[in-house]
Amino acid sequence: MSHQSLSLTLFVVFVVITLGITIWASRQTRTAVDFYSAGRRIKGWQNGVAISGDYMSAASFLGIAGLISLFGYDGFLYSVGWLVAYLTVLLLVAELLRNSGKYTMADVLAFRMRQRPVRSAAALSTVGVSIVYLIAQMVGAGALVKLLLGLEGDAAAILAIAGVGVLMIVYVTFGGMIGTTWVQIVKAVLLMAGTVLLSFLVLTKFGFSMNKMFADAAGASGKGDAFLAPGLRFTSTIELVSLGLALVLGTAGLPHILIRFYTVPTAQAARKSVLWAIGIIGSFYILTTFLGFGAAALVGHQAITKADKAGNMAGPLLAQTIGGGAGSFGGDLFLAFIAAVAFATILAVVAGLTITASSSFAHDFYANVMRRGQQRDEQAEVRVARITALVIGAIAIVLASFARGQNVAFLVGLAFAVAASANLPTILFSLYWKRFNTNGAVVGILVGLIGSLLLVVIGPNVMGPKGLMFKGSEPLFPLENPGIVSIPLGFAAAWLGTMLSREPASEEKYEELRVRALTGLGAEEAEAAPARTRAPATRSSG
Amino acid sequence: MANDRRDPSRSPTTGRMTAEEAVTATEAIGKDPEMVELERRHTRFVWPATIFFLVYYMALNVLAGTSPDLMGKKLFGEFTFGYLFALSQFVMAFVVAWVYARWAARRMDPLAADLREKLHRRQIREVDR
Repeated sequence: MSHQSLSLTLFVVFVVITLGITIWASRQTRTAVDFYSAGRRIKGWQNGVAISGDYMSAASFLGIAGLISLFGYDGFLYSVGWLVAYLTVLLLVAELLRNSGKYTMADVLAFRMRQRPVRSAAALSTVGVSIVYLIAQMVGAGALVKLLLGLEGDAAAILAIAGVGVLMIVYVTFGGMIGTTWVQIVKAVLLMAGTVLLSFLVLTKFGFSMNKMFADAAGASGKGDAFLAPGLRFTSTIELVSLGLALVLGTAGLPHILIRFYTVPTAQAARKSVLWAIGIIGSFYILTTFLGFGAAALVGHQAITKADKAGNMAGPLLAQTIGGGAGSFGGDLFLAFIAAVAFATILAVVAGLTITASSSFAHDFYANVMRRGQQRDEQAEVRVARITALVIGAIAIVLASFARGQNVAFLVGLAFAVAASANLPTILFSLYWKRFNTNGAVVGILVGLIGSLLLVVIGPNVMGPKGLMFKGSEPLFPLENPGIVSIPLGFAAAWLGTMLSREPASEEKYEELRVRALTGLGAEEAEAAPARTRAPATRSSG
Repeated sequence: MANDRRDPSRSPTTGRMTAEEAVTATEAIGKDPEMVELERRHTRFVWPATIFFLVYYMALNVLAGTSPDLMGKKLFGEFTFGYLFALSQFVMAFVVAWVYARWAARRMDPLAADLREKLHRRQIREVDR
């Protein structure tokens, strides 16, 4: 059996299982709170596993392993930043958000402020961040299919991207949040199992000596000891600080992570879910050491860049090498397994992003802005969410075909910069600053969103000799990641927008928000499970 | 980690309260000394903790940019100072998360539960009148 048919079989098995979950979930999904927030019946630990599944995307599994395998130490900095970011979520956002919102990120802003302007702005940035994130996932999917099927050329990658897109639309439109949550849980377990197994096998190759692994990786890289020190990917301190800020502050502004806190019954359960997520995600990122340095030592720079010039295929190639090499049964089997895990990873993240963006459009823009929140028709709202999932999927498919050839972790790093610039300032100000108002929120979101996207477009990855266009000219903005400029810009815009106007209503409601956020008074309650077929979420004990 | 069974907001106290009732109720509770204390405790923990982890984390990025030689210094075997410093960030994150969870369960949750209870009693009195 060739590795193509093996991996296809494993992949199809995963798809069948998750489609089964989706069909089961569609029977549990009766109301809008079921569709958007899984009825708030998800347990803390289950949500923690689902957050991990939502967060450890193609960027973590394919992208970081690739960066470490090509640049050594510098790649590991992504792992560190993406874990420490959860402290921002835990300390400042998770519990207060759980108590003050309902379905979407915008709910927290809308609590104090004028609904229509803040919901419009928040829906725009939710869709914007989610699409940038989606592009990265689809680029990973495209590279993976090309490797698996041994295909050359762009048609195959585009076809793969389209296939992933269609599947995710099915998950979201039928399964809603309950289906998405369980797909993420299954994926997180698979990903951790695959990574632990792969790391263990890497260690066996070096006689369980990390020392030997580092030495061999440095030797094979051709860079020597420089491979174990910073400087091969990032040479400027400002670039490093910029990336670091985006990574550590971005997570708390990612709509698809934030809305997961609405799926649990209480603030304590939200706290518990972050603790679980920190444990799982932290363990995973420590293991990226073995994936990355292992691939550098065992697969080698040339073979990695040959399969994908940005290094995205280092992990799957490592599996193939450890299994016995290309063409051997063991190599094919293990490659197929790891590739299936990577696919599962991408599908689950894509489903999470899509449901977030479509919920925000349906709940914030359609129901509250277009319909002005009158005559709430929840069925129509859910229908709009499903149609939006379709449209967003299509947009991401088209854009992803332009971003092929970029490292996935790098692309997701950009999504983090956009999230930290557009969303984090308004979330923090609305939770912690009494004077904050509608004007500040709208200006902050728009300036952060447009500013960060614009800086990427005029930066070295799009413009100039290394970019996609205007190769003859120098980029107008020198940094790859815009965080160090765009994040302070977002905060400054939100502050300035606030100071230019007064809104007594927002200041009066601040106290109410604080009471509700800190004590849970009046917070959204969990819904009773459907009577006949109870979800496993409510049956198993935490 | 928080124990779900002890979780006070699962109690019928808030379970019976509608969002509208809670809105009027929170106005009264906003000036309550216990609420002021809850706010004070929260502020005094989360902001210093946030500043601490941000400084510790950014130190890694700044050192990686300014002192690659120090970061590449081998402390034992092939383990560089940079890699061990990066690993220590994981330990730091686990410890901060654990300390916060313990602190919140001891210093925040009982107070929040008290406030919810107090509000519930106040509402019952208002209904009786």
